[in-house]
Amino acid sequence: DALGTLQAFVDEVKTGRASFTQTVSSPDGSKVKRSSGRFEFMRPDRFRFAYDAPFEQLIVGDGQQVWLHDVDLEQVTVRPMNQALGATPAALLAGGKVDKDFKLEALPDAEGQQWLRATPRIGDSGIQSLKIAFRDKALSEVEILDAFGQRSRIVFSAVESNPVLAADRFRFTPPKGADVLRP
Amino acid sequence: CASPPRLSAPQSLSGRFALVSQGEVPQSLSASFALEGTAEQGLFVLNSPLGSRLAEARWQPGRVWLRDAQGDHDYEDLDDLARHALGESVPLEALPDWLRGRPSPLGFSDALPGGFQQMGWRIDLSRQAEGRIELQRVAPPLLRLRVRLEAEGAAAP
Repeated sequence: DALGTLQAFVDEVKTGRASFTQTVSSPDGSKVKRSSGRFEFMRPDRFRFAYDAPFEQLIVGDGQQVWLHDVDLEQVTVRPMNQALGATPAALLAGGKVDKDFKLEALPDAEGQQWLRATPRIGDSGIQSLKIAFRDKALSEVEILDAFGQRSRIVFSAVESNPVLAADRFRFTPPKGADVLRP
Repeated sequence: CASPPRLSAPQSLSGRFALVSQGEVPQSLSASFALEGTAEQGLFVLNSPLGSRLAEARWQPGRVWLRDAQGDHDYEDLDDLARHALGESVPLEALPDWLRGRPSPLGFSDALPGGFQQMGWRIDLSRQAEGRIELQRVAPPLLRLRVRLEAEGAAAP
């Protein structure tokens, strides 16, 4: 069932790579923002969201810290990973012990996909719930519902399980000229 | 004097900003935002880079409050609210005008090459054509917001 599929995904898929499109709709659904990019991960705590449209933005979790490079605004922000990861989609997708961070619940299959709901165990994370979907055992979708009712849907394509990924995919070196600020 | 006739509610603005401050507690924040309303009544939405909504700052005559995952928090004034929401006193009520490239009706302003100065801030419009506006507090320490405005989001499908 869906829980078994998620457990297999966590146990067997140690690295992953995919393209994604993301749609964020405001709570009343009146505003919709679309973006897209490439996602990579390496368990238990490394990930890379490289947005290329409508603007370039790179988010890299290197195991200790999460780097955010807004290429266009030439700024790099870095946060300690524990503060940033906790209840985020990155923890659900790339984490090592998913049931430690989330309460998991299988949902009925829909659109030919197996669905699960993951509710963050830490209360005030600002995330109401995450839903994750698998199609033929491969990761296919994640949906984030936040405390305001804003919905972010990430649909993956060209999913590769266990590709060989160089470690430096999850390291970030700030480019010269960008402001790097550690709060 | 009679206030100007009420225009239709101004279009909302949205985009991303990168805030940097080098006060005692250096601060940096990179987020996307949506802004609606005017100096008197407005809504500033703060989103995380991955698209979830972090907070909403709201102001109207007689009330200023911040809504986040824990609920509503009232503040004395927008300056107090901005300090809590963004870690710095950014004049949120001036943004509906500044981000449209014009001084706020809230006070005097002085023209400068490529922009203007108001309320102790310098507003650089030299790259406004690309949708990029830079706000920097005149008095040190450095407090700067680089803003990239996006064309109004696609209407819901």
